[in-house]
Amino acid sequence: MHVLVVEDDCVSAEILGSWLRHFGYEVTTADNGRDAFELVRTGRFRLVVSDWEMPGMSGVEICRQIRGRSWGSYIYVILVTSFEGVDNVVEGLNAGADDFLTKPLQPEELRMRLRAGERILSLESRDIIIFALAKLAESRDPQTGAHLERIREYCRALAEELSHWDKFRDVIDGEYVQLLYLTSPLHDIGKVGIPDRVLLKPGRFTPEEFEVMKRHTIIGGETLNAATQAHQGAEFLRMAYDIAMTHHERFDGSGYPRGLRGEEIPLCGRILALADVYDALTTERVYKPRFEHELARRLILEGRGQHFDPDIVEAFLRRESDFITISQRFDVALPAIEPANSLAPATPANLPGG
Amino acid sequence: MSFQPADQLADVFDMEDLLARCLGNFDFVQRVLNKFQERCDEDLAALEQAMVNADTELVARLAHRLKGASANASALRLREHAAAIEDAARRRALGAVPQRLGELRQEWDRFTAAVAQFEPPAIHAVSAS
Ligand SMILES: [Fe+2]
Repeated sequence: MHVLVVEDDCVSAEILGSWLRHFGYEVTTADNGRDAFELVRTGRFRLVVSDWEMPGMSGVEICRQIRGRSWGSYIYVILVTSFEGVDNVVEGLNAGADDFLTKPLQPEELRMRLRAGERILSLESRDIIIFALAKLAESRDPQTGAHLERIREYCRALAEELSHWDKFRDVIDGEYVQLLYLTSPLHDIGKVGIPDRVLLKPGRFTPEEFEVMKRHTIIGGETLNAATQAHQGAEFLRMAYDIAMTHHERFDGSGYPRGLRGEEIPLCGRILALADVYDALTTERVYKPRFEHELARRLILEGRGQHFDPDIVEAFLRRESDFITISQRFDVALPAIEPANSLAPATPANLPGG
Repeated sequence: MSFQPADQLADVFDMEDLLARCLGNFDFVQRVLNKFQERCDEDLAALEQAMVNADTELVARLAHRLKGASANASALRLREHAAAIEDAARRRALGAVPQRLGELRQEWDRFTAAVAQFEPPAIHAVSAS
């Protein structure tokens, strides 16, 4: 990664530059704010380490200028001060600085702060790309509107609820909730491998078509598994794999693709199963109208212990108001749908995804 | 002992600290000291001139820059003098500055002499191996 160092003192600049090169960064230095800002405008820098006090444009001013306009991606700014004090930190934060270092600088500290910055930048890219990927897969099946946005909110509500239970306290922590929020939109990514004639068919599936449709779980799972194996540090895709693979499994073992039952089904898969069905019930689909929350609730209760893990159903009941809020928040009007040739009675049995 | 030059420098600048911050690399130490010397030669002359002109703003700014550079070169006493001058200039109390400036100049001469000696056996020993 390429770091821009802004420092009017040539000794500091020399030390900083040598450290950063030693740490493996590419370095460009500017000795004043105006040059620095011109360099930022080239879009080549996502990490900026700037001295606070400089003649002309100060580090804080550079920071303000950077935040004052939008860039292709986030620019992480670390300000270096020669004075400590809360006032300065507050002023820096208000200007949009991400972190602070106090002189005299220590190399290890600088390295740690830069690592932290890089982590944030890479997470930003990662999260955007994951969601874009999920959206791309979904774009072939445009009837579902803001399905992915809702799904991850439902999943988060359920996971947060469960995290307070003794039974799940050790399994679900803040990171689990974050990961679930991040990766749940990938559950149907395998649909990219399903032919249009099946994926976009408005009516009921023939048994053969249903078999084809079921494959979206395995296609998605295998794709994510391959990605996990090829990239160390992509462990977060492990959960995405579990989700893609098991979100159509049912608690009583009657689901697909493998007929797992009970706790054989990863927790994230069990959570997603309920969230996915609730969303299918409460939105209009080519094969069914939109159901009110009350009806959706009843159908989910009927599936307790059969389709759904009773614990997840219980969590759903305790977070019912969250579900209602979420379903309304993303309730954008869908394009008018041609009436389907036949509407099968909608029960959880043919929901969702065929 | 090959470390004697570093010992002689000890009361002028903190060699150990500088070496640590230069990641244990003597070439790097040398580069930093060279940069420091170039910059301070100029700044010190400019600072004396600014005092003659009673340009408080400029005194404060130059002293500030000298302070930062000294801290980075682990020249702690230079840093103290520069800080005192900056502080006085910011308070627009230039009265005590000439004496401080004299001390700063003396300290600077000791520093450059020490660095000149520092053409060091220690460095040759390391880089010759
Ligand atoms: Fe699915």
